Amino acid sequence: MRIDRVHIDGFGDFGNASFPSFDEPVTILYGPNEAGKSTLLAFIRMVLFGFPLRGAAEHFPPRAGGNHGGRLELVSDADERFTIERHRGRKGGLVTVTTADGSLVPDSARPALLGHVTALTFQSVFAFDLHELRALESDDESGINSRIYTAGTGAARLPQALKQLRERAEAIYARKGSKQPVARVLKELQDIEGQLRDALSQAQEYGAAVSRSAELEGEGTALDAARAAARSRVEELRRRRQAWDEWVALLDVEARLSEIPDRTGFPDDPIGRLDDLEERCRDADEVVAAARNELERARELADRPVDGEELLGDKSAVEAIRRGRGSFDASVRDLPKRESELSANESDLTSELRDLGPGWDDERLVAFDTSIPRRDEVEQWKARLSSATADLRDRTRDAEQVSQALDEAHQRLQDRQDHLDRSPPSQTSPDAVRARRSALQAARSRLAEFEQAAQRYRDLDAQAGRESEPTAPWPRLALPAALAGLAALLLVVGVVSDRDLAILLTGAALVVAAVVAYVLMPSPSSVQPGDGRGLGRLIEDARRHADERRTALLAALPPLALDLEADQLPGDDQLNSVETALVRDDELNRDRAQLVAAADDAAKDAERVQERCRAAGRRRDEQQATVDAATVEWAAWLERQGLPETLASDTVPELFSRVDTARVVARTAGEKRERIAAIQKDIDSFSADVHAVTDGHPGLGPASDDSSMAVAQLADRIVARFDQTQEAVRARAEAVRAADERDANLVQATSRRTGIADRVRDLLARAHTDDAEEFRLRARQHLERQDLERQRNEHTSALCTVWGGERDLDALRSAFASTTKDETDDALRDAESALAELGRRTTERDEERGRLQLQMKQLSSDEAASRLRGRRAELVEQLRALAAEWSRVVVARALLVRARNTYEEERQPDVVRRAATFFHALTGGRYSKLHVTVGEQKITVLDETGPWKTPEQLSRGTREQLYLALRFGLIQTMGDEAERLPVIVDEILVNFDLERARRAAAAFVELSRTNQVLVLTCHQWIVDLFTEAAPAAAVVDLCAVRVAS
Amino acid sequence: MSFRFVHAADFHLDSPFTGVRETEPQVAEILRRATFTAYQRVIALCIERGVDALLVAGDIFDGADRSLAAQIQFVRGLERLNDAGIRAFICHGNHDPLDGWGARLKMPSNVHQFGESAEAVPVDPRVPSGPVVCGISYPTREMRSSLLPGFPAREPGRVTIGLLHANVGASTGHEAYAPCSLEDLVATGYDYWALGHVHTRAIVRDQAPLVVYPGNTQGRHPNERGPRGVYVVDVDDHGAISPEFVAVDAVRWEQLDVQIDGIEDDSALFSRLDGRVEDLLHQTDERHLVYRISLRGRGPVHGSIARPGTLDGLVGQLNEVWGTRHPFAFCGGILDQTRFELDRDALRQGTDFIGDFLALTDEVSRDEGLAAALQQELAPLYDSTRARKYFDGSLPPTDDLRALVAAAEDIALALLVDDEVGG
Repeated sequence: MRIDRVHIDGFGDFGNASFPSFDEPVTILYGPNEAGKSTLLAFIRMVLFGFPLRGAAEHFPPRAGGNHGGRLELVSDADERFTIERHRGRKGGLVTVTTADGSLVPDSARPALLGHVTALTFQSVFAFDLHELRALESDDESGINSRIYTAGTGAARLPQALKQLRERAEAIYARKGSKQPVARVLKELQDIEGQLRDALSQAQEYGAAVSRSAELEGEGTALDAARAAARSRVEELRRRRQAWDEWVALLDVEARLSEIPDRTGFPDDPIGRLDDLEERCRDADEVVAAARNELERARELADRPVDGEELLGDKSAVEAIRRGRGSFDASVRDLPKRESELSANESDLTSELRDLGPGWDDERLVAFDTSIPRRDEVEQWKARLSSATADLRDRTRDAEQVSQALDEAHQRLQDRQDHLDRSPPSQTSPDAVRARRSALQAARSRLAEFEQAAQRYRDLDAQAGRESEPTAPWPRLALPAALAGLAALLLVVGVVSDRDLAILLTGAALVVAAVVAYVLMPSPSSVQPGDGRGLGRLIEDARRHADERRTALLAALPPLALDLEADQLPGDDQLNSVETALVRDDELNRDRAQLVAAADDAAKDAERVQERCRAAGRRRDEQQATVDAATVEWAAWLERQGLPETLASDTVPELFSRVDTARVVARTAGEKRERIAAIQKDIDSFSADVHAVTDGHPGLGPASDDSSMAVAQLADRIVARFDQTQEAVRARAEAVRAADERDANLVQATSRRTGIADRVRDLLARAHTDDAEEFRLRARQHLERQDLERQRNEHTSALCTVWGGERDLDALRSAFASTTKDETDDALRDAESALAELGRRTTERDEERGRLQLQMKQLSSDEAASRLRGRRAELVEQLRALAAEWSRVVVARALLVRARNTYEEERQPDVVRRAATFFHALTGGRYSKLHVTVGEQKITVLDETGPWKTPEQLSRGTREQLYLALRFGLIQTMGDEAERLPVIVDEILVNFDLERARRAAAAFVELSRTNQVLVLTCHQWIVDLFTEAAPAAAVVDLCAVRVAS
Repeated sequence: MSFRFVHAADFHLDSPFTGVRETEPQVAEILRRATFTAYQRVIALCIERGVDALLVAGDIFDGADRSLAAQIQFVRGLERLNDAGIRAFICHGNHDPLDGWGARLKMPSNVHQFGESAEAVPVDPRVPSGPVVCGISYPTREMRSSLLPGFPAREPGRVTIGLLHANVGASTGHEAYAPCSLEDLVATGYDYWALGHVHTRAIVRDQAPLVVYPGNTQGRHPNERGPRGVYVVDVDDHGAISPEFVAVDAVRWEQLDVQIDGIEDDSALFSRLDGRVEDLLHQTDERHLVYRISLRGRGPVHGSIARPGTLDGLVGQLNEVWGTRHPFAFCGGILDQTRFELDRDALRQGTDFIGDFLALTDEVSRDEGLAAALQQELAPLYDSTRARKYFDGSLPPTDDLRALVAAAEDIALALLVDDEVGG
């Protein structure tokens, strides 16, 4: 595959730059520093293989503008044309590959077009600069061999990859390492396995504890039974010892009881009962005597008479006087005040009627209509009259304003008419101006054509004159001759001065410059000698053409009416004067048209204002008629209401208010008169009631006079006498009821006294006696026996309580009777001793059992083993994960090593053979052989003057030749099976001496037989070397391409 | 007569979780107790459903180092059943054979442990025509022949249930302990075969006799995913049998397969995983969740994934978000099965070293000698005295080697090919 064309849309300093076709096998791209060599190299790499995913600084942003990227036109080994176009974007940039007919090439076909090489291989093997050529160098001399070797495999990163994989594997696991993760995990696993073994022994302890616990369970059962029997014996003896005193006291009480007779029939507390009945008998006698005295006093009060008891027959009349007494006093006090208020009201009414005017009295006040509808009528009249008057004012003002506007319009019309009259009219009509302008343009065109033809004629004529003069050859030879002389001088000086290489080179360069100057010097004329007849024909044609143009110009002049002689041609000044006059006429015509239009507008405006003035006058007169009609109707309304015609609509509401006020005063005076009459009637009625009662009961006494005060005193006396009589009658009735109650009390007290005496007799009878003292003696004997029986029961109960009710009294009597107190004490001591021994043995068993249970509980709740197993599982998981990672790395490395060995065996011979050929040529035959030992990754070269050498033993320049040779060998070998890619090199020969560089150039030319070669350089001597080695090589000036872009 | 029983198997009490590299203490404690919690749920289920019996088909404990705590807790659960009047029938399997270590714990009176000879035991001795359980325990771990010949014949008129720890029909993924065929089981004429050993529940035969594996009660590693539990089995008056699965697991295992195609960066990858974990947690019925992630496919994020520490960081991030909740969702690890985003076919056709390298990796699957040689490269670790027992004493098998070579190829390409240039 070769690159045919390069087009850069935008990349670094290139913008829209197209390179000429790279047709030749070798193309030299020449330009000074900063001309864009590195940019072009990077561009080709990135269009073919994509923009770097990281490091935007290496993207060569388009500083000269344009879309970032471009395209390469390629021709495959099968002579098919493709275009790869790529612009900056995701995943290395947006790329399209098309064939010559524009159809898209699928992504899957792209690798084949690019020889199935990776970007890195292309960069390190096919397209590299001096720095990359030396990238195989290393500070570590021992590494150089390996790097050179891998350069021959196309896997420049293989040494680093193998090293990294080894380090990664050893970082995870090393046979004897102790710090790697695998070792740490295994160590922890080992520890955990040990702890788990310990945990297993704990479980065995648990089993033993379970067995011993079961044995103790059996022992405990027997021990518990023996302890229960011993505890029971001790308890029995302790009870017997504790109850011994009670037993002795019981025997004493039973002896005393046998000496006292047992009497029955006594109630509880018989002596107290007798004393109480005798006391209650005495109290009953005193109650009977008191009741009899109270009865006598009550009967005396019930029989006493009451004075004036007949007044109670007029109870209703007296109660009426009592109720009306308060009202009577109020009426007597209120009457004078009411009379005074009436007098004041009547005075106010007289004043109000007087203010309303003549003809107003109480009757008219009542009859006059001031209702809401009537008031609304007044308001409507008021609004109607007010609105009509306001409208009349507005229309009058409108008419005045329009009249004033009419005066102003008339004035404007007059002003514009005067301005128009003063403005002078144009002498040339607009149509005439347009015709003259067309004629002027035609004349200018003809004049230009004539001048061009005349100039052509003059130029040819002048050339004919120069050719008729003799030529001088010396100017063409002067510069080459000077350069050649100077070169000869320097060469002589260089030879004389002990072959100074710099002076010799400069002299040689001047020789080359002299040759170039002679070749490139231009000939003195572009018209070759021997062409004299042809020039004459040209001059004749030019003259004839100029005459034709002059005739056409003269024909175009008459419409302009210029002041010219016959056949005289016009100048620019004359044509410009005509154009100036045309411009002035245009302006005059335009101004005149504007003034006429303004005067017409003013006249139309005055007519419109005149019409508005007439309409305003009509509207004002119509409104005046409306106001007059409303005033007449208002006067008629007032007359219908009996009101004066002179009243304005504003004053009528006030009149209505004053009528309402007078009407309220008259109504109040009437109400006062009615109230005074009612009060006087109440006073008279009360006096009549009082006198009616005193007339029926003379004992009440006469009235002192007829005054209100005397009536009031008499009424108070009647009420007081009635209340006294009524109270005396009520007291007498109460005394009768009390006498009846006292009589019943006396009967009841007498009965109770008899009952108590009967109960005393019954009590004495229960002791079979009627004597109270004998009764008391027998009762005391009975009480003493009861006390002894209680003591006997208490002792018996105490004895039974000691045994908790488990033993009856007969059993206890036989038990106590069978032994003595001392014998019981001895037996108790023996039993307590046996029980203590059994208790000690039980405690020992319980303690052991407790210890076992605690141990079992601890063992059963110990979850350490469980946790250890969980941790072991985690560690095994970690170990397997580490092993998996280690395995991947180890297998990766093993595969790489095997692939390398395979490569060495199967491909290396061809690469090395071809590289040896190139190396032989590059070194001028000094190194004739190149040898690779399979499996050792070492290259040795055979120096014709000596033994085999390793690369470390070569000079730097020779090593760089070796780098080139290896690449050439690899390029040709890869080309056997895949697309042959172009080789692009950037300044890789600059460090070679001239001979080495010449041989390298020849090697590149040799390589160009199979692969296209593009050489980027800023050195002319390198250009010369390549053009010397390949005369057909194309040279492209990078500066020219940039300038063109 | 009708009756009801719970069919359980493979408690593997106190066995650890595998497939989890590192846990937080609180998570570790819940995982450690998970088998116990599941067992306690079985006991509670028996009591709640009022069953007549619990049948346990072996592998109650996990191995020779069965823990004391496991044995004690197991007996306590049986005592609870005794208090509730529920009988328990137990047979032992390859993980807890009769000759295994025991703490001589006293079993409550409701428990019948089958011995090394098959026998028939009535569920209720007071009912002459009641159901019978026939079972047998492994006398020792290595029972490689069928135990069926020793089983008694079915008693006419009595519902008969077989209780056995065995591999029926050579179930793949499980060792062939007490192997027998389905036809052998059908030939016994029993009504129900309550089996244990296979950890994934299965109704091997859904008509009489039913042959059922309930699976284990708690998943303990990445391959034991989904709900785990027991069957509650109802037998009606006519002998019709209907099993109902009830999940009892405390912690659920799941696997997330995530394609990285189209994922641009680490942040997008985390968002994708975060969303998937949330979805998964919603499906676990309020249980704790332990999951592993398998990243697959090719994409730009592969390079980041392949860098040491990236996956550990992702696991940490996920566990920080989901591992501290209740119930938690804990990530046990991320398996990287992603591939380098390169046109491998194009590289493979190259005539340079990389083309040769890829041709060699393709050769591994065809060339047994090459595969064996690569296996030997791993021997220093896998065959080392200290480590070999943790790798089951063998080198990675050929299937694993193929995946290993693919991963190794990616590692090598990442180092050889300029990954800074797009194509």
